[in-house]
Amino acid sequence: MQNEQNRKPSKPAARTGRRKNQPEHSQTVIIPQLSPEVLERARRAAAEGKTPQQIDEEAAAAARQAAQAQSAAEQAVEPKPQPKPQAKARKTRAEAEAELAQSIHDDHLWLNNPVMVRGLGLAPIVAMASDGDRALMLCVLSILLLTATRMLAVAVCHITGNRFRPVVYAYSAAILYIPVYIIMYNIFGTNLSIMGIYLPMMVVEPVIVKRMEAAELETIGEAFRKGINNTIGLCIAILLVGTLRELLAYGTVFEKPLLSVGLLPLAAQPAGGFLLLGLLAAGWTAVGGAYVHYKQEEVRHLYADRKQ
Amino acid sequence: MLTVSSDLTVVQGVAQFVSYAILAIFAENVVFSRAMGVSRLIKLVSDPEVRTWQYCTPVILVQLFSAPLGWACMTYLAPLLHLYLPDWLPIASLRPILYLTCAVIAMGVVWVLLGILPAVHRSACREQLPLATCTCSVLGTLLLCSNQNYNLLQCIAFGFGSGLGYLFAVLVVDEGRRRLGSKDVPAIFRGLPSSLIYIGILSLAIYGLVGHGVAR
Repeated sequence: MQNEQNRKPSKPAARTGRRKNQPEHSQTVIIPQLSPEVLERARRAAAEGKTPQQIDEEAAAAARQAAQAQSAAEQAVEPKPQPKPQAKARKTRAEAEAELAQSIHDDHLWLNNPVMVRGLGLAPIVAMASDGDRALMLCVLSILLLTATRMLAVAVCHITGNRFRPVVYAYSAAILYIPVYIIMYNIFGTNLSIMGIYLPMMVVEPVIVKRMEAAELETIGEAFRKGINNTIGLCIAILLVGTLRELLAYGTVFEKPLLSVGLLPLAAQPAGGFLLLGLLAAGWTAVGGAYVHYKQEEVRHLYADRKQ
Repeated sequence: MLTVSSDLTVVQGVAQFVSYAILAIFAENVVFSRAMGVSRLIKLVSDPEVRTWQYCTPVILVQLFSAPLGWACMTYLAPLLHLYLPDWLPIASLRPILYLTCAVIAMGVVWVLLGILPAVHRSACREQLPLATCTCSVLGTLLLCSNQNYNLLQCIAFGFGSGLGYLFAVLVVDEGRRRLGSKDVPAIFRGLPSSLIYIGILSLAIYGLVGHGVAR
């Protein structure tokens, strides 16, 4: 309020506050943004013998033209797309490291293989995948059972409010096992009996129902994507172990002879399966660890100046 | 008053029970001979939050109570179902769901029985009970008893022995893992690879003791 009272009389004072005895020539002409060129032009005009008023008018006109030209130039520049600040486009080091960790976690084929790295599905691989044919049967079973079980169990868990999770997962696998067994029986016939207890036991194998241990509920789309990834990773491991064990134990691969004699007959037994899988897991871990170390160093160098 | 023949029958039954239980604990150990439940075992020994007894007590009890149910299922229910099933639906396709149901019923019994434990132990065991039920060692033992055509006593003894055998395997692997944490072990062998090789050597020892592969 005090400010308004102070301001109101200020305008008339500005207009009428000039002293009457103040000389006329003391009026100053405000020339907007006098540049050296404008002043030079005015000096030349004065040299040509023009009056001060003409000189002032010409100088003011020149200054206005210069100002208009400058504003036009600025407007012409403005429409150009401004480059985004680099800080927004580039990630921070923490973000890049988190992204790398996530990509490693999601890589179920190599870096986070369910068998070689996480130690899932060991029972059928160690005890049953002792040759290529059995490994192939396990692969087909995994392809038919794993992703479907995961999706069905997630759908049921959404209905039950994520309660009784282990039982839901195990029963989902057991129900899906019925059509899967019929399909496999049509493919492999009575050869299926050589799988013994390990074929029906797959319904509670952690690689199929591992997700039952996790408290958070995933979406069906996520279950499909991760199920496919896990299936591929599992099949790679099963086939690798199965063919290698057959080669070492019998000298054949899918019953085709490659060696005249089996180098390690023990490979067909569970003890040999454990030992061979342990050595394979060590090699797998070494290669995967070296690659992860390389990627981490790469991120560290690329984002060395962006710790925040 | 017991007669000589009935005494012999009781002694024979006890001997048979003990021999099958010992067979299941050592010679046909679920982990070392058949690799059943080994994934969960490796996870268990590396998990500091879960104690061995919290997981193994439910496993032993579920194995014990599911064994007679599995025997009844194999002896009575499966032949009955076989009569009514259509040709395109083999009874083998229903085995997992039948024996899983036996295990789940046993889980309910065990859940009630665990009520006699003090509150702290009770809640810890009940927390692990569903995971202990839906495991390869439980379902695998039921399927194995069915395949081997064991009688009721043999089923119970083998089931109980399998539970104890799983506990034995967990204790042995836990101790081995503690020693394998040494810095002398190369980095690439630490964790899963060294555990697998260690279990493989133990499995080899049992294979050498038995002298032949076990039925699967």
